[in-house]
Amino acid sequence: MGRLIVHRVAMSIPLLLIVSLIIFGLEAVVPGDAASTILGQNATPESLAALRVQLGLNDPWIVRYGHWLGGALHADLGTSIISGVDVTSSLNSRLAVTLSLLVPTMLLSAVAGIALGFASAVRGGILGRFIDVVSLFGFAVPSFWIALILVTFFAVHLNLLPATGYQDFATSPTGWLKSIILPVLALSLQGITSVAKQTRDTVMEVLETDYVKFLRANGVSERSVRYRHVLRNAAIPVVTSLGLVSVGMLSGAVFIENVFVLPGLGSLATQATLDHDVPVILGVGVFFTLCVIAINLVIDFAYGLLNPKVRVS
Amino acid sequence: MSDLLSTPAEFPVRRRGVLRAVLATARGRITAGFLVLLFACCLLAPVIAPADPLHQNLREILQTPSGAHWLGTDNLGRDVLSRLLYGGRSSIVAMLEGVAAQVAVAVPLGVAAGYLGGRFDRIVMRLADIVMSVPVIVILLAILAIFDHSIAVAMITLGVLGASGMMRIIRGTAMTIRQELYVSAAELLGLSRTQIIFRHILPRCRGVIIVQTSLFAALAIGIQTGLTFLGLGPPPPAATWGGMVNEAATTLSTAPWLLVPSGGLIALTVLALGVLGDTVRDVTAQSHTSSGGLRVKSAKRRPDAAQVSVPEGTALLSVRDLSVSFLTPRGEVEVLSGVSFDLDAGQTLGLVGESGSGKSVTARAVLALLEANGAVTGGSVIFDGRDLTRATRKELAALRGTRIALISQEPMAALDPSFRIGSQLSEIVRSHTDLSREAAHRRVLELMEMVELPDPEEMAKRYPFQISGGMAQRVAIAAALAGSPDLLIADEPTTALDVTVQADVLALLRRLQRETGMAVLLVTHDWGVVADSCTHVAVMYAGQVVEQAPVEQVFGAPAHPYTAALMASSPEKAPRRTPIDAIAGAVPPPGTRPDGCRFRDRCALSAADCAETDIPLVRLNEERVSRCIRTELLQVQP
Amino acid sequence: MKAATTAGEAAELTVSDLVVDYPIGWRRHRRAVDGVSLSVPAGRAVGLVGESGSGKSSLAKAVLGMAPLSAGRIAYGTTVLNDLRGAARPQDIQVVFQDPYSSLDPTKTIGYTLQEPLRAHSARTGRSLSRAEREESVRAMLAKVGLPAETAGRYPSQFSGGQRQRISIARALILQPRLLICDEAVSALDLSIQAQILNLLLELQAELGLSLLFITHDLSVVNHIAEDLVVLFRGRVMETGSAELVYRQPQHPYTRQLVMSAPTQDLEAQRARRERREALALPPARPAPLGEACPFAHRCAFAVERCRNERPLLRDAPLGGQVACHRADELPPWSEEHTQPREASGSPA
Repeated sequence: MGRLIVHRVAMSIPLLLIVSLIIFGLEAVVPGDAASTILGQNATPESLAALRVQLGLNDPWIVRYGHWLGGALHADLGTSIISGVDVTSSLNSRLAVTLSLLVPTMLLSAVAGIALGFASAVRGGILGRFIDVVSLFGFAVPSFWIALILVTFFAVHLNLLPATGYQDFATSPTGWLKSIILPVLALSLQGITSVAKQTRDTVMEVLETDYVKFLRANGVSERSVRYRHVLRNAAIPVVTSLGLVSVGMLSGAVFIENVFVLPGLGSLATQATLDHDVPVILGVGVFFTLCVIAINLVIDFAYGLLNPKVRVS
Repeated sequence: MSDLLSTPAEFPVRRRGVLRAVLATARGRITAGFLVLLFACCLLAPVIAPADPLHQNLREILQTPSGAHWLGTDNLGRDVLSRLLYGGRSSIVAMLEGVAAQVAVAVPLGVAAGYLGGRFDRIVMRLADIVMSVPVIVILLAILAIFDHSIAVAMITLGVLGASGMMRIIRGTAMTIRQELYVSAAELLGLSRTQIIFRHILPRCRGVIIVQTSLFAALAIGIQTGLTFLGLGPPPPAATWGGMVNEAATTLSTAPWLLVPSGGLIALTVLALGVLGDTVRDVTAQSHTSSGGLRVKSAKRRPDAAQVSVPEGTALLSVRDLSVSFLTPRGEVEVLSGVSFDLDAGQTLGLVGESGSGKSVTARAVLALLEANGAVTGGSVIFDGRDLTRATRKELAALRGTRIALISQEPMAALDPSFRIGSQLSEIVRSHTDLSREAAHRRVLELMEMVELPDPEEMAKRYPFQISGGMAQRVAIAAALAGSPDLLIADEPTTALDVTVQADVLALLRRLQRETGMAVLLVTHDWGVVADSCTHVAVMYAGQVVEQAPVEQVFGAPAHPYTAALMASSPEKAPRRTPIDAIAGAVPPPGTRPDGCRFRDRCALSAADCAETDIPLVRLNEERVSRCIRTELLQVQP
Repeated sequence: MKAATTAGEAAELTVSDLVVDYPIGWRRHRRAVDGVSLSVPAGRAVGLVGESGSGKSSLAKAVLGMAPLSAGRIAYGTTVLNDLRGAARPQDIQVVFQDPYSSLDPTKTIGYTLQEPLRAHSARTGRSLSRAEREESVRAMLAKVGLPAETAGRYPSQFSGGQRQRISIARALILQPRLLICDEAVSALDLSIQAQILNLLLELQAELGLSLLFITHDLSVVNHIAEDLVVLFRGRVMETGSAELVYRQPQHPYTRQLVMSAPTQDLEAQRARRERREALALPPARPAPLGEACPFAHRCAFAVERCRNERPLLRDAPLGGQVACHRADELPPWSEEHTQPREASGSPA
C-alpha cells in the first residue's frame, strides 16, 4: 500500500517532465517564436533581435528549458508574452474556479453513477434498459452542446439560473452555487453515465460469481449479499474507471468553462491558444498535470483500501 | 466440466468474418449504413450539396426548415445542410488522421509487448502509464498554439497520446493468446516470432482492434468538434460542425432550432461509431459469463405441469419429472427432461454422469439457484414435504443454509476474495442464529476445528488467496455446516483437488455425515468417489436419470446399458495396455438429443422399439429403477 | 501413409540431474524440478505421475525447450537438447497438451493447423512439398486418428473436446516423430472419451513404434498405458520401476499414499484402501521443510529424525526398481487384499 503511493509519487516527476518537455520541445522545433508573436507583423528585424536577446531566445532550447524548469521548481512559471503578467499568480487566481467546477462534478458523477448503475444491475428490467440507453446518450452527446441546451432551457426560457458568469464563494455563497449548477450538470452527464455503465456491468459480473451463489446457497441474506459482498467487490474496477473518467473531465472542463464564460484555467488556456501564448499554456499544463496526479493518488489510496491483495502485501 | 452450455461444439456455427457477423445484426446494419451514407454524402458534398456553404443571403437569415433549405438557414442566411456536409469533411479527415496515428502506434507496440513480455513489456507499460496520465487537452491546446491552429497535427498527437489505452488492451489480448497451447505448439515447430505474430496472434486481436478503433474514432470526432467549437480550427467562414454549434450559440434565444442539426449530427455520428464498436465487441467476444453475456427472460414453466401429485413415501428430497430449460442466443434449449430421484435422510446419493448429462444443473435447480437465463419448466422438487420449485424467495431464503447447504467445485471461487475467512464464516453463522459477535467467533473456531483446519485462530485472519485449495474446500464445508443442514449438496467437491487432498476431504465429509446424520447429494463424474462415499447412486445421461439404485446393486450388476458401458470405459477395467471397452460417439448435447431412448445410438442392445417412444423409468425392485426396456438382455451380459 | 518427411531413427531420451527454477519477483526463484533423472528408451511407454506442484509439467516443458534449465542435461540419442530452441530442435519429439480447447487456433481451419508443421518442416529442410502432397498427408493423418477427411475444411469450434484431442494428436504425429510427450493429454476428457483416446494412443504407439512420455496426475490412467512409472513429488523422483511393480508393490510411503488415496471403482477394494489409509493415521498436512530433507517427511507416517535432516537418494529398491527413501527396507509389506478385475482377466500383457 505504502509502496503503491510512493511509486505513484515517483511516477509523477517524469510525468511533469514529459508534459513540459513536449510543449517546450514542440515550440522549439517550429519556426516563429515569442518575439514575432509579441511584435506582430510590423516588427523590424532590429526590434525582433533586441527582443530576442531580452527574452533569452537566442539560447539553445535545452538551456531555456533548464531556466524554465529552475523557475518552476520555485513556483515561477514565467510571464505571459501577451500581457506580461506572472503566470503563476494568474493561474492561482483561476484555480478556485476550475476546482469549483471539477470537484462537485467528480463527486456527483461518482455518487449518482454508482447508485444508478448498482440499482439498475440488481433490479434489471426497465431501469437497466434505461441506463443502457442513457449511457449511450451520455457517450455520444458533446458536453458543450448539452451545456447550450441547458442554458436555452433553464436560463433563457425559465430564467432560473444565470446563463454565464461566475461568482466567488467568499462574496456570495448562493451566487456561487447558482453559477456552478448548470456547468456541473453539463459536465456530469458524461461522468455519471459512464460510471453508471461501468458499475452496472461490473455488478452484473459479480452477481454471477461462484462466491455470490455460495453465499446465497448457504443462507446469507440478499441484503448482505448485495450491499456487503457485491458492492465491495464491484468497487475495485469501478474505482479504477472513476480515475479515468475524472482525468477525462479535465478536457470537458475546458469546453464547459468557455460555454459558461467561467474565468477558470480552461478558458485561460483557450485564450492563450488563440493568442499563441505558450508560457501560459505551459503553466496550465503543469496545473492540470498536478490535478491528474492528485486524482491518481486518491484513486490509488481507495484501491489499496478496497483490495486486500494490495493491502496485505 | 459442468458448464455444458458454453461447450462450443453444441451449436456448430460456421466461423464468419467480423464484418459479415456485424452486418448480420440489426444494430450493425443500421450504424454501418448510417456511417457509410454520411461519409459518402460528405465526400460528395461539392456534387450533392444544395447550395454553396459560404453563400450568404441576409434576407433569408435564421429560417426554419423548408423546401428550399431542408435544415433552415443560419444567422448569415447560409444553407445549414450544405454547411453540415462541407463541415463533415474536416471532421472525417480529422478522425481518420487520429485513428491512423493511434493504430500505427498501438498495434505494433501492444502486440509486441504482449507477445514478447519481459523487459520490453515492462518499459512499454511504464511509458503507457505515464502517457495515460498526461492531460491531453493541454497538449492539444499547446499544439494548436504552436502549429497555428493545425487540426491535423492536433489529431495526430491525440492519436499518439490516446494510443496507450488501445495498446494496453491489445497487449492484454496478446498476452492471453500467448498462453494458449497452440502458440506453444507453433513455437515448438520452430516458427519465428514474426510468423507466430502474424499467423496466430494478430488474427485473434482483430476484434479488439476494430472495437478500440471505432471507440477512438468516436472520441476523435468529439474532440475535433470541441476544438472547432472553441474556434481553434479553420478560421471562419469555413464550415465546421463545432463552429456551427458555436454560431448557433450566439442566436440561442432567437433561433434555438439551429442547435439541433449541428449538435444532433455530431451526437448521431459519435453514437453510430460507439454502437458499432459495441456490436463488434458483442460478435467477437467469447461468452464471458455463464449466461453467455445475454440477459434474457427466463423460460416459462409449462402450463400442463401445474398439477403435482402429493409426494409418496418418506424421502427427504424427492425430485419428480424435473425439467429445466435455458434460453440461449439460439433459442430455448431443454437441458433436463423429467429428472426423478429420491434421497432419504442419512443417505449419500451420488449423481453420476459425464459432461452434458445435466448433473450440476440438477443440483443447482434443487436449490433454485439456476443462472439468470435458466428456469424450471416442469416437475417438482419436494423437500421435506414442500415443493421448492413453487416456494417464494422468502421461503427459499429461510431454507438455505439451515435445511439445505451447498459446497461447490471450485473451492477458491466460492469464497469472497475481499473478506477474511473468519469474517465470512462469522457472517454465515450469524445469519442462521442471533449469536453475539464473540459467540459467533467462538462458533467459527469450533466449526474450523470440526473440519480439521490447522490453527483456526490464525486461519480466520487470512484471506482466501492466502490458503490452498484443499484448505478452501474445508472452509467451504465449515460454512455449509454452520446452519446444521439436513441436506448437503456437494457439486463435484473434490474435482479440482489433488488425489491425496481429495481423499482427506472425502474422509472428512464421511465423518461429518456420520456425526450429523445429514443427507448428502454428491455430484461427481468419478466412479471411485461413488464407491468411496455413496450409499446410493443415480446415473444421468443427456438430461435424464437412467438408473437409480443402492451402490452394491449398481456395482454388482448395472441395470442400464449406459451404466454398464460407462463403468467399463474406466482404464481400471482393462488389462494394462489393452484396448478399453470405450463407448463410441459422444454425449448428444442439449437440443440434438434423439427421440426415444437417448442412449440408443451408442448402445449395443438397441432395437427398433428403443426409438419409438420415450422410455419411462422402469421399477426393477423396491430400491431400483432403470430407463431401459431391455434390461433382461443386460443381465445375461458378462 | 505416404512418407512426406523423412523419419529419424528412434533413440532414447535421457534426462540427468535436471534442475528447473522459475524466477518469482526479483532475485528469488521457485525450484520446480530438483535434480530429476529419467530415461525413455526407444519404443517404450514411460509414465510420469505426480500431484500439482510435483514438477511434472515443468519437466515436460524442459524436455520441449520451454523452461529455463538451471542444471542438468537433456539428450535425445546423442543430441544434447539443453540449448536448442525452435527450429534447431529435432522434430522427432512432439507433444499433445492437456487442454483441447486451447490447443487449436480458433481462427484457422483444421487443415491449416495440420499443414503448418509440414510447411515449417519444408522451410527448415528446404524440401518443399506440393499442395497436393500436403493435403494428402493431412487426409491420411486424419484417417489415422479416426476423423473424416471433411474435418480439414472446418474450424475448431465445430468439434467436441474428444475430437479436438484427436486433431491435436494428428498435428503431433504428422511429422512422424519418434517420441510423443502427452502432457495430461486425457485429463480434461470425460471417462468414455478418455477411453477412446487412450485406445487410439496405444494403437498408434504400436503401429508407429513410438516412444511415449505420458504425464498425468491420474494413477489409473498412467498404470493402464505405461510400461515404466516415475513418481514425482515436489520436484524429486520418489520411486521408479516397472508399472506393474510400482502400482502393485509401492515401496515408497508417498507412492503408497497416492495409491491409497486414489478411489477405485470397486466397492470392496475401495473399502480396503480407505481403511488402510485411515489406519495409518497420517499427520495433518503442514507446510513442508525443504532443503536437506525428504520432501515427504512432514506427511509420512514412517518418518524419523534422519528423514528430516538428510535428503534420501534414489537407490535400488528391495523388490526391484529404485526408491528414494531411507526406510524403504523397513516398511511393512504391502499387498492389495482384494483381487481386481485386472487379475481376474488374466495376467497383464
